[in-house]
Amino acid sequence: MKSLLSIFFGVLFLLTACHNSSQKKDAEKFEIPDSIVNGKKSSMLDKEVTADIIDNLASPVEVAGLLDQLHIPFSNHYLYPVKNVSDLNTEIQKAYGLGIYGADLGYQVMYGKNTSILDYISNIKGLSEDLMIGQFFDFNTLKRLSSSKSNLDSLMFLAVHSFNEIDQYLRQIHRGEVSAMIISGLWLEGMYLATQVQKNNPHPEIKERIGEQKIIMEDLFTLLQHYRNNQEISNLMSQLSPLKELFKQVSITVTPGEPETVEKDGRLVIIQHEESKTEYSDDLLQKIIKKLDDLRNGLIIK
Amino acid sequence: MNFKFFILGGVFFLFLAGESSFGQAQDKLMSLCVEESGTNATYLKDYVVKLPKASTPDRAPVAKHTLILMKNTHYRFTICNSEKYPGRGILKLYDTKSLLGTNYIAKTGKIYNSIDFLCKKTGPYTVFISFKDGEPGMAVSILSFVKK
Repeated sequence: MKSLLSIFFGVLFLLTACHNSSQKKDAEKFEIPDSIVNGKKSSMLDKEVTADIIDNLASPVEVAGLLDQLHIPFSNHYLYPVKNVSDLNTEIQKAYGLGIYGADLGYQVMYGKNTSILDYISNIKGLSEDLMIGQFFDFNTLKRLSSSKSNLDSLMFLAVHSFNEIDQYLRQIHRGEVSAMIISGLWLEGMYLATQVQKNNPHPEIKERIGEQKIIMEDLFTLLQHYRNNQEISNLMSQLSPLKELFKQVSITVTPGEPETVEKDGRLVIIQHEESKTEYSDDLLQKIIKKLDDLRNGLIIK
Repeated sequence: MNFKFFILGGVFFLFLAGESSFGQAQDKLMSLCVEESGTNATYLKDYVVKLPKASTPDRAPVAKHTLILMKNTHYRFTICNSEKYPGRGILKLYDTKSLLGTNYIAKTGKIYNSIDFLCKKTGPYTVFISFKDGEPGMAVSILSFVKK
């Protein structure tokens, strides 16, 4: 049950929206997709590439699931204070805050902690209405669902689905920078939570997941780069740059292997035998933790 | 069972909200597909695919989606077809180099409703969805995270 609840962490899910944006309706041979053969991302960041990058920014739902499986205790000290919403003034700051509060809501829902959820829903409501995307949330239903722990699964599904639609909508109406900032907020807060957990409950698997964020960080930068003419986004990039430099020192290697397909309980299962391994020093981990702490608590986009 | 109930309820509320870009048929298909994913699966994302008939049988239209999957995670791709169209969805999962697997077994002609993927490598992957023999079709594919 608890792990089902972890889905909301996936508010970070903006990431995952835009299902239709990359549909190709032109006829092309299914067996040999050119993009796979070429295996490269276009250097020209056009609309479609931007959509691909956003889709590529994985949600930390899987990380949340890992925390759940490792029985890491919940701590409300990690949460971004509800009252800080009043510090968010511009559209970009509000979008960023929406991501942060979304991630924190997901963290609480994952652990079945519904005592403060209403405050976070309230902040999300206010911010999304200010951003003129409040129509995508059914707040009355979210509020009602939050009243009982047994309803948190549907709360997460609704919220995640709404965030998916918001992302798609924002890009359709050429407000991609707002979407990019929501994603940045979600990602940074997700990383903050993960690093705080690692700080207080160190575990090699969490360390590896943190290191793997090197991949996400690179994509995030590519996305933000597209909106660098916006001064606030440019400032955020400047603040994130030292973190990016730290991640450059993380080594990710891959051991080759052929996939295997088996049928199990009537389902087809693909077992991957190619394996990635993430390595970096504990000293570097401490630097990453510290930098994230500074970034998030310095908040940030002025 | 509870989970199914609430998820289905969630889809219903989405419908009531009336602001969704999904049509009624898509909502229904999605709720069925969420249910099909299983009670131990946590919804991560969905792809709605609608493709026209192929101009020639060997050049089936295809939808492409990219995503990052995480190591040591059990994923499930479930695909559900609209009965209003003849097309049966075929899903293929690639990493950056090659095909990892598909729900279509060419040797037997069997099309599975889902494929599970036990991921061992964090990185970018690509999902291609087409319809068998280039028939026109509409499908919803749900990506879920399966609890260990």
